[in-house]
Amino acid sequence: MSLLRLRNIGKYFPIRSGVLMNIRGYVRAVDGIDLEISSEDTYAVVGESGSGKTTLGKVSIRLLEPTFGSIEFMGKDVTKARGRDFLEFRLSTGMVFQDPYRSLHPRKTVIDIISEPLRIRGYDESDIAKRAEEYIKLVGLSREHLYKYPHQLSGGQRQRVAIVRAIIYNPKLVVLDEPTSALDVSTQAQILNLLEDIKKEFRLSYMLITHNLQIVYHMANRVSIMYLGKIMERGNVEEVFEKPLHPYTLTLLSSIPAAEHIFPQIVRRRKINPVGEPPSPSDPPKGCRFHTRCPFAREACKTIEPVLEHIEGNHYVSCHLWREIE
Amino acid sequence: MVLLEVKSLRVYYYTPRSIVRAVDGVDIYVERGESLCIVGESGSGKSTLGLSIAGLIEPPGRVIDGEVIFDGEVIVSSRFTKTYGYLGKRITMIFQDPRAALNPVMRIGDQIAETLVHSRGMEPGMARERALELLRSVEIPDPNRVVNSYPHELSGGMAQRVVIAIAISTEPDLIIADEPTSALDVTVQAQILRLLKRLVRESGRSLIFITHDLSVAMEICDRIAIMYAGKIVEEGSIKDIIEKPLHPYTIALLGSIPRMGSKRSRLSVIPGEPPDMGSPPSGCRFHPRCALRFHPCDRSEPAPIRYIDGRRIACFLYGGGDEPPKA
Amino acid sequence: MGENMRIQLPSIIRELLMKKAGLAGVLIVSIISLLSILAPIIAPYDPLDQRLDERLNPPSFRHIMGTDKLGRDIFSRVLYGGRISLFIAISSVALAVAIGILIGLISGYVGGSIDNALMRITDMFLSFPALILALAIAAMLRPGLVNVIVAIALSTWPQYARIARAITLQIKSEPYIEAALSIGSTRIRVLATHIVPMVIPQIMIQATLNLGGAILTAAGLGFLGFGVPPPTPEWGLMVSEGRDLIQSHWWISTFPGLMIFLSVVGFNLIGDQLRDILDVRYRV
Repeated sequence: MSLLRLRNIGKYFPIRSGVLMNIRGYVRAVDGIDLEISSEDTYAVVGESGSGKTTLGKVSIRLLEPTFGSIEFMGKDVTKARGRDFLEFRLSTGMVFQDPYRSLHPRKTVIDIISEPLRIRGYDESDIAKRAEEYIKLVGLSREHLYKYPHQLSGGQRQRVAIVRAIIYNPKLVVLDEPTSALDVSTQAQILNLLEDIKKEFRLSYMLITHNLQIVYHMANRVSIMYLGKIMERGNVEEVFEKPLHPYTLTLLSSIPAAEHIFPQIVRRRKINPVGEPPSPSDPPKGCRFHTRCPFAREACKTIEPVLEHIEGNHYVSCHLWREIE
Repeated sequence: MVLLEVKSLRVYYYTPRSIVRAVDGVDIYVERGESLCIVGESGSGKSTLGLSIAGLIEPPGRVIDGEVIFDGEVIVSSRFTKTYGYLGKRITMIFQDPRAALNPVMRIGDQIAETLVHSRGMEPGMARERALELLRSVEIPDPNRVVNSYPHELSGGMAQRVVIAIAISTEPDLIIADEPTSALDVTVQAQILRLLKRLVRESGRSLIFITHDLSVAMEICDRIAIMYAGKIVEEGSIKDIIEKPLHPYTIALLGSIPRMGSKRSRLSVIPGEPPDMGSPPSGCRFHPRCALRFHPCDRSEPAPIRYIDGRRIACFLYGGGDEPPKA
Repeated sequence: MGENMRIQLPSIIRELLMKKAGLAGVLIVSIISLLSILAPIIAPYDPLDQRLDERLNPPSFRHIMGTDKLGRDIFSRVLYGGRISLFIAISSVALAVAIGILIGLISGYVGGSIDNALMRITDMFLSFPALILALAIAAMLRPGLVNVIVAIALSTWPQYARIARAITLQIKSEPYIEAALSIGSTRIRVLATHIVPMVIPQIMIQATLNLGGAILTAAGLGFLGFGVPPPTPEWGLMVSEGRDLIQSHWWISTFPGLMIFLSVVGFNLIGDQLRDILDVRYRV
């Protein structure tokens, strides 16, 4: 069942400069993306800085308004929803933010933070207290933690609180923006396991935004690889990891440290050493956006922008040369 | 040939609330041309260890005990710290945030030249030339533009390359890198790691690479030392650690890395949280979180056992107490 | 406002009393406040009671602060005057804070042309010295207690607006604010329950420091005849009433002047100490 459907979604940020703050250009953070998340999917959106993945995550739940395109949630168009419809959309979606040290209000206690969504919904005070206790235990914390302030908690504990806040009102879709990047490796494992458990228990769908392909492989069933606001390759995780076709995907896989130990089969097939840095999204290269860093770039790549081509199953690639790479 | 030796080093921080035993009895060594990785999570003391070797411990931190011996000479001890002639010349350091290490109001070329003029007595003209050369050697694509730029005009990866250029400009014997790639994109990280590997190999320099990421350590180092709560718990070659990890902490760390074959299975998790270094657990510091603990573990600390192949392990499972070693 | 503030209040007060300056300030202000509140009980005479046969008497046992030119007991007038002055000080600061926070929050959060417009208005108010502005406003309005309060509030709100705006700008793009939106909070709710608690500490410090100034401004207005109209006892007015006779009958101006001085010092001591305490605790 289709949960979230983005059609040709785009988000441009105006660049202003000068005394009168005139608009000089646009940062095309997200530049025409189609995406569909179904029930109980874990859909990974992968990219490095400048890819637009975080912007995509925020636009998907309208924390940022899209510049163009449409958002469909459970069959209803919510792109311009307001009032009651908008609140319903908000309460069906949640987000866990990247930095656990900045995503909790420093002057509120844990119970205040996690009760807020329930208060907004109009829950009874006694219900709220009960539910807060129930959920805080679910994520492995105890009742005492409810009355602490964020600065008294560790990174892992804060992230657990952030997770409770995002699920306590039973949304259907949760956007996870790099949920473990700021955490130690052992804490990361705890949080990933927790997310998996919660997903099963509450039958959630996740949009997992990350740059870490290992986590994608472990947790996600669908993946889209983003570069400078566009999708380079997408498909089921098995399809993309077993047969990566886009040069950027291959570059990402090859960049994993000690890739030979972590994804030996894949890397043995084709290893591309990365060159250069991600260019600025305010001035993307013409033609294929990746051509400036692509070892296979041809003339066509510099002028004509490729479109997503269907390969097989759910696997799509946006590259002129994928046949040769195969 | 051993370049650096750390013996029984103890570095404590004296804070109003408690004494933080950041480094609590560490013995390690680095040979010439070798890359050693110190792997630990936050609070393990790995950064303090790196700073101690470079002689950069300031109050409220103090070297309580032990020595750092560099090329035969004691440069750090509880009585004195001798950095002149070493720090910035024979031992250089790279930190996580490159822009914090660069002077924001000086052009890149001038900053590199300044180091050369100051530490090698080079003439300014020559220093400028050498700065360009150095920028080329760290694979900066447009050295002429970068040499005239300011740090804020550079991306994170570029800035880190500049920092590396400064770090190698004095032709040091030892480079200490503290999480130099943690803030970088994964493709940029891969390039920086390759660059460091090349620079170290080509010049026969030694590298101490401090990181929390075991896979990064596997990528760049010859030997790994795993640090937990101020102590080294296991040390060995990359091959040994990956194929035959001994310490329960190492095993758990390896198991918590998502990898091929881990799909849909649960990652192995270390329960609990890293200890408060102001009041660490009794006995073996890891015992409260250890799935394999048994009765000596909360009573006394296991002494490191050195095996024949340069491997060390500090765990009662392998001896080190009055009990015969368990299999 | 966060429960945080309420829970922290006793400990803040405790810290305040532990330092000499804070303790002194609290003592002074408490004594003055207490005397003012208990004025109906303590005052030996009715402050408006004119005894023309006892005019211009120097301090004595019957009148410990002497009498003024209409034979009114100055001590009683000083006590009742305290009520007026303190009331004006607190009300005007409270009103200024309310206006300032409102404007500052909207300006900072909404941004754009509204921010520009509001900031230009703020600049206009700031271009006048506060006392002159208060004077001008008081002169335009009829003399009276409420108008004095309004005049002082209108001349002092800009600084609170500035503080509120600065903090709002600083935190409005923080993840915890975004998180509040993501769980369905409206922007108004975010302003009120997330941003205001971060604004309050800084504002409190400024407000406490300004209480002394408010008393001074009220006294100034009173002195110049634009404050509370006679025969209401108000310290500034009382100083003014005695100014022609200062050389011969010093007590008429001196005692109310002393009260002004003491209360300003008291509030300033508290304000300074509070700033030291809160700056450490509430680094935004």
